[in-house]
Amino acid sequence: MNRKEFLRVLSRSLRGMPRAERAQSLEYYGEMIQDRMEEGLSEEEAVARLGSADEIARQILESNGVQEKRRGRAPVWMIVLIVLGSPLWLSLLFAVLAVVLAAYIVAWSLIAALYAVLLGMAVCGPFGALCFVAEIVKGNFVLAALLLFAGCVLLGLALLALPWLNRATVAVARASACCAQGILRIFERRKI
Amino acid sequence: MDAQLRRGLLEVCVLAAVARHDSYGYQIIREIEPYVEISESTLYPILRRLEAGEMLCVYSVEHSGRLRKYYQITQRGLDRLAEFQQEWGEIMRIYSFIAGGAQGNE
Repeated sequence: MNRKEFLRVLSRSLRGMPRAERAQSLEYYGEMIQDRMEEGLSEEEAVARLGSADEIARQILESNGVQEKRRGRAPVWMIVLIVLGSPLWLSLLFAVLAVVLAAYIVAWSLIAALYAVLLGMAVCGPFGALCFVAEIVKGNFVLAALLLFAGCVLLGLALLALPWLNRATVAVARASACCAQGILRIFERRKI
Repeated sequence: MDAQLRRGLLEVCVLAAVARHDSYGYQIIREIEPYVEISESTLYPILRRLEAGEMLCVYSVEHSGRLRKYYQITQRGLDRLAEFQQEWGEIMRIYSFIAGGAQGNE
């Protein structure tokens, strides 16, 4: 086997590893082969000296597992404290989440309700027109005029308020997105 | 030799080799080989561990058109070496206890 082949087999066997670690392993063994070749060994001999690529890969993967645990560096007492305290902080966490969820629901329900109100007001427009016609037929001219006027006013107000409500909706949406991100970030930091 | 014992000793050996002068991987093997059995695949995890423990740092130097990685000892690595040399007294005491016990039973 020549150097390129050896490195290719090794690279394949290390497929599970993060790219940076795998590249480092390949660099190291590639360098070793080249150094041995400089000593006078042929490429085949230099590669043969390393042993089997699968064995090396197994060793690297194994020690990589150990590496991850060491880098954790979380002191044991901290872990024990967190586990023992979990009834406390878990329930606090749930309480906070419940409040956040409730606030979220309230905010959106309010938005929905306001839209419903505006819709109702807007409907008064055409409805008022219908009533106008009905009352004209019945002969109640004043009532008809009043109803038409009321319908128009409500429709107008609804149309005026709509852009404001839209802006409010966007603001609430952005606020809830921020909250969601903030919560997720807290969870990310908790990951020991 | 017991595998764990060898691994612990090898780590300090590598530190000692690099403490003498900045070395590249194969150079370290050549320096240690006369004293204790070490292969490329044994050295690699040791180097990674030492680097992760910040006892070694790495830099690259160009050599014959390729990049060669040199390892350099850090202050932390030097502290570990000093620590080991202090431990050595204790190790000798333990050894003489073991050796004394073995002789006593003969």
